[in-house]
Amino acid sequence: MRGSFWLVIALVGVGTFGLRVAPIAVRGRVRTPAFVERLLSHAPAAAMATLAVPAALYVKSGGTYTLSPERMAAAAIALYVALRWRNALLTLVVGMGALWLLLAVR
Amino acid sequence: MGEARRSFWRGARDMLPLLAAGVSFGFVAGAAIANAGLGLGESMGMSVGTYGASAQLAATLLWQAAAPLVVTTVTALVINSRFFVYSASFAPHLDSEPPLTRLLAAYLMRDGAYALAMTNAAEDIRIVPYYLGAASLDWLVWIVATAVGTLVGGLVPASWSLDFVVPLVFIALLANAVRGRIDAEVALTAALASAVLVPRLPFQLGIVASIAVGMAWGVARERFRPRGATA
Repeated sequence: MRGSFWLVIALVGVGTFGLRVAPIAVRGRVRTPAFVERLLSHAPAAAMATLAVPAALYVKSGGTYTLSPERMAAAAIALYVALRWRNALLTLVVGMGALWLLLAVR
Repeated sequence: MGEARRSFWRGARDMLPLLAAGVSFGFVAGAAIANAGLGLGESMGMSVGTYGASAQLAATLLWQAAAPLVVTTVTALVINSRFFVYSASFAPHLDSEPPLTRLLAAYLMRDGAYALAMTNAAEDIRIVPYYLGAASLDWLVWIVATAVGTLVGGLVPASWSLDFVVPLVFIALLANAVRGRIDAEVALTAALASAVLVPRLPFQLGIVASIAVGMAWGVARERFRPRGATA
């Protein structure tokens, strides 16, 4: 069982280093297809939104997702703070504070 | 030499405010390893070997859910594909550096140090040592935070909802990633897709699918504008 986790580490490790080193190693010799470059240029916004939203909407236990109004409200407040001040620490503090407050008064 | 050293420490100093995210996220990623029944060895192997952030968490959760190896690997690599973009845009600064420095810079490539180096490097700062200073501190703190998370993460009661730090970190990073109208549309498209797909598709395939939907929307929208018109 643990062996398969080390296999995950090896595959993801080699693949991730490849992603990081390829553009630096082949610079000047190989051109990335323009389509790939354009697709990947949208990866940050798409990835961050995808990684933020489900965990901000649902409480997950086992394989079941349950909508959490408190999380949605706290996430909305945090998103406003993040866009307004672009400060990671402030976003974390306000977001966690809002969630604890909402869970306490529920 | 003096200038390089000064730039290195300046980078490390500028990294400090961003570390709050790395500390809390690393703690959560480390705790997930312990929660999956794994130990400090696996935690350090994952952090040093892959040095991702969300990809580490995603890979751990998928492995725990007994997802197929291909799904786990591809999901993690899709999440990490942004490092390819970062490296491609940072590469010109490394042209005159020795091979070892280029390898080190590649290995350490992550959101915070990349963003700092590309946006904060002033005229009196050398960008490569500046980047390496920020990236080294980011790496060190990440390793320690995941280790601590693995060792004591299980002690934090579930009622504290500490896992909520994860979407909050992504919300903070999302705010930095959204610089123009198309970015906002990409984020909104991916957000809607993920809200629907992630709870429904097996093996967390909804993550890859939603990122793909967002990226596809971005490319489709660009077709209606000249290249380079987006901010």
